[in-house]
Amino acid sequence: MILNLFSIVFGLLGAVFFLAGTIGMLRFPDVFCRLHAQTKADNQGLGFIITALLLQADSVWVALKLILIWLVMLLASANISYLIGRYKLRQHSEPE
Amino acid sequence: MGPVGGVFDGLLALVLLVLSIRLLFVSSLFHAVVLFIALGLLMGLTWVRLQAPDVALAEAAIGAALTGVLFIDLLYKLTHRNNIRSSVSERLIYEQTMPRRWLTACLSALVCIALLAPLLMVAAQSPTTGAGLTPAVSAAMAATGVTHEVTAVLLNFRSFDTLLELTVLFVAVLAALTLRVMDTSSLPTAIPKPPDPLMDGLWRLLLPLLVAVSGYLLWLGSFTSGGAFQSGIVMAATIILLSLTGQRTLELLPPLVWRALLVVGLLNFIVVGAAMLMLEGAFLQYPQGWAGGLILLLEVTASLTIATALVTLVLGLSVPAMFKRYPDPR
Repeated sequence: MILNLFSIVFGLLGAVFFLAGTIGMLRFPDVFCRLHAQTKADNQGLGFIITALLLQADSVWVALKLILIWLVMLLASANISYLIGRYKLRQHSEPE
Repeated sequence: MGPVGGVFDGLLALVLLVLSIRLLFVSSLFHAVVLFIALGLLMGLTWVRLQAPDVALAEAAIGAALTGVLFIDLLYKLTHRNNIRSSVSERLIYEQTMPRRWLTACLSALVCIALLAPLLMVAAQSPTTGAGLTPAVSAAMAATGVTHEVTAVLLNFRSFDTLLELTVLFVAVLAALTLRVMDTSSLPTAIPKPPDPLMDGLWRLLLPLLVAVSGYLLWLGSFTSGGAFQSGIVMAATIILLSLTGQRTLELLPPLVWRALLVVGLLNFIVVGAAMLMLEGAFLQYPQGWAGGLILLLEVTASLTIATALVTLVLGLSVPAMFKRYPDPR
């Protein structure tokens, strides 16, 4: 019962981060600000949702897989942000 | 499912419809590609909601990821060809003359209606209640050599269909290689080539994990969602990732090995099928007790071929070294 309550709280926290990230994606003025918003949703939001799901996991293996999903997502998100940011930066410095 | 699930499904269906319409009418090719990838991901989610995780995996990996990579790469090549800046080239492709556009639209509409009519007829005739073929499949599961229904259908009951799917993939690769008329050496690839410390770290971390996931998916196929297609796609994605981070991948293979990998899945299907035709009297009719082993064999080789074919489709145009023995006629 108490676990379910914690799951709901963490899930809602994750949803708030995703909502904020999405609003940031839509409303922020340039690529770098949008990247910032997006990574918050990816990293923190998913982290909270994974925490919520961890509390509901049936076995240790399922829990480990969930944690692995989050770690891979962190890795991918950081690297993709770097690639997009670098591309944009180079575009700016390039004399057109 | 409950009311929340119903609302979610309704929203999902609505978003799919809106995305498809936007995709058809958006004016920039790049936006269309992005929308197409989003559509593929949501289609994957739809399959999950329809309780078909096997299809969902394949849809997300092929429909969204691999097709997306193909489209983005193609778009980049089209727009950067001969240093024409993006807007000009894009307009050349997209803005046809008015009567031609209308003709294309009318023809597409006719084809769509012609396809929609039989589809609606089938939908109207199919039973809305009852379990369909599920009881028949469940009853015959013991003889299939696997415990997962989807794998049993794909590689035992309807293995002929899987053989044809591999053939389609093979023909697609052949067509792509035949149409390779562009001078690839002058074309840039979408991702910058010089080695990058971050990309280096990324592939070093991801490579073992992705190889493990690919093998795991193949192994899962015999008793739960997974199998040759999903495993092959993950393997292909791994190789494409490696090559995008500047590593040499397909070029390292001797051309003969590459060609062998490209056909081994299909060939194995035909050989096993023909052998069963002689032994059992029916094409791809597995003998009692042998089904499990044969399916595993077919799955492993099919997975190799699927991975090689998909990698060739994506990288084929940008790997001139592979075609050293066939120089460009020009």
